[in-house]
Amino acid sequence: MDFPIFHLDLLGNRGLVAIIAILHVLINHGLAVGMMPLVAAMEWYGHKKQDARWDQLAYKILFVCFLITTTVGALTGVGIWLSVSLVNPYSIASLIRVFFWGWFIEWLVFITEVVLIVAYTLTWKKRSTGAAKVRHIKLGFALGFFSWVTMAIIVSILGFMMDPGNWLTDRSLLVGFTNPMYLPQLAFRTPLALMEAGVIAMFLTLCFTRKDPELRTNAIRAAGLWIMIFAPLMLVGGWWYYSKVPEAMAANLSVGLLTLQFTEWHDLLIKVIVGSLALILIVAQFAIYRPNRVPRWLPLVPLAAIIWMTGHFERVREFVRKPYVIGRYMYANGIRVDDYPLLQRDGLLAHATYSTPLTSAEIGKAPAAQIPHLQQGRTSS
Amino acid sequence: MNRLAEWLGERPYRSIALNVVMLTVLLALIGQPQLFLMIGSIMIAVLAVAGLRGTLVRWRLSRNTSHPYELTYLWAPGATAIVLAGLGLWLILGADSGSPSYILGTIFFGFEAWLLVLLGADLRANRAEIVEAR
Repeated sequence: MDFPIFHLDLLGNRGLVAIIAILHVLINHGLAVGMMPLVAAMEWYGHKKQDARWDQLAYKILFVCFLITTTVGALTGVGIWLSVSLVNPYSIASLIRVFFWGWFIEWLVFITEVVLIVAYTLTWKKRSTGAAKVRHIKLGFALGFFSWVTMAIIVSILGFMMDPGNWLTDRSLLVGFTNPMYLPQLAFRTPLALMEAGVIAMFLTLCFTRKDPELRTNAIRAAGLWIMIFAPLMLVGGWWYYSKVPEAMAANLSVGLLTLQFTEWHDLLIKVIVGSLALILIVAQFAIYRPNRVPRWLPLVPLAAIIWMTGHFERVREFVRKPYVIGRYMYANGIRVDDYPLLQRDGLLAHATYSTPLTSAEIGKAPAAQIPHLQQGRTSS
Repeated sequence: MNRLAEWLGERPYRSIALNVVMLTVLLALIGQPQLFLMIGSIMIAVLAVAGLRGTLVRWRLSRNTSHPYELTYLWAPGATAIVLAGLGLWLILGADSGSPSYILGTIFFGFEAWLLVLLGADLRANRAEIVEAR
């Protein structure tokens, strides 16, 4: 089936997808996947120490996450479907055919996640003591788990678009799901999400604990440790992921990172990326060593660094796939690799749904100079 | 000058930290990455041993009661500081003197060395607290 061509002036199709998708990834990773286990851990710690201040801080952070994820997060999630359906309906149609059951399960998990976050937030104050509190903490960790599962399913589809692996010869859901890029990308994204959550939690802690220096010191230190634990894991996951990128895509990396004009800056940019990660770690270290001296603006530095890194990573992932939209299966223009020889031989119009070949009478009415071309087109169709 | 001397005297580690920073600046000004690597590595090794001693003492004294969170708090900062100081040296080694990478590497290295001095000082203070409490 043919689809009408969608073209967005000024912003461009890529800009539309990029803005919606990157905003969604930042919210999903930082405020859902990474933050829910952190909030549950803070609640658990407060319960263990019988310190209500930790509980209140965790609730305040959760409430911010609840507001943003259920509004901007949910809208951009739908927005991704809208934008990719407009920009490249062929690829999304192919992906739906391959991952129908995967997406169906993801939808169930997502609904569970929404129910859990609503229940977790709204029952916080009612379930504040004894066994009810323990159950509530378990609810928090369950929410964290389901948030991660939604990401784990979607990451498989993202990996598939880069390298479908054996699916090209054995077309089953399981083979497509377990593509070569799946686990490395998941191993990278999971600590990235947890680290992002640590940075956001540090910033929110500074906003919410102005009147309690003792809690601020302990909570800032805990957030710093959280970042410090997951940063090396992200580096290892990133390296694993990088090592699995197909050779042809790795060759596109310089362009993906910097555009054609600045490819020679590739080495410098790698150092900037390593430097950004080090900067995040340095702020975390400072937060651990001298938590009482961390100014409120300081977490904005690693936050900017991690937003830049995540956004750039998504950009590179999209760019290196070229000329394919689904690696070795479909080109970015929506033509399948297998169909290409046929279309090259017959021309696109011969197989276009809404292009009916001209009749002899219609060809006869055309200007004399065009008749040989039209006849040739008719013969080939 | 007197005020500086007073400020340094308030905390014993401040003079060590000042020495470390001065040595880092000196190495950066010499502008020889190989020399920086050699002396910088020795400096980090000495500071790491001092930090490790303090960490081990604290770990032995508190291991019966310590929680994974506290263990991470005890070990992770020092280990990260050593790794990042190594990263600073890596940036210096692959760069020309005065280039952005060289300056960035020097800043990382100096900061991490300073943090290792703080770590040793904090752990000594912690050890004194523990001994006092016993």
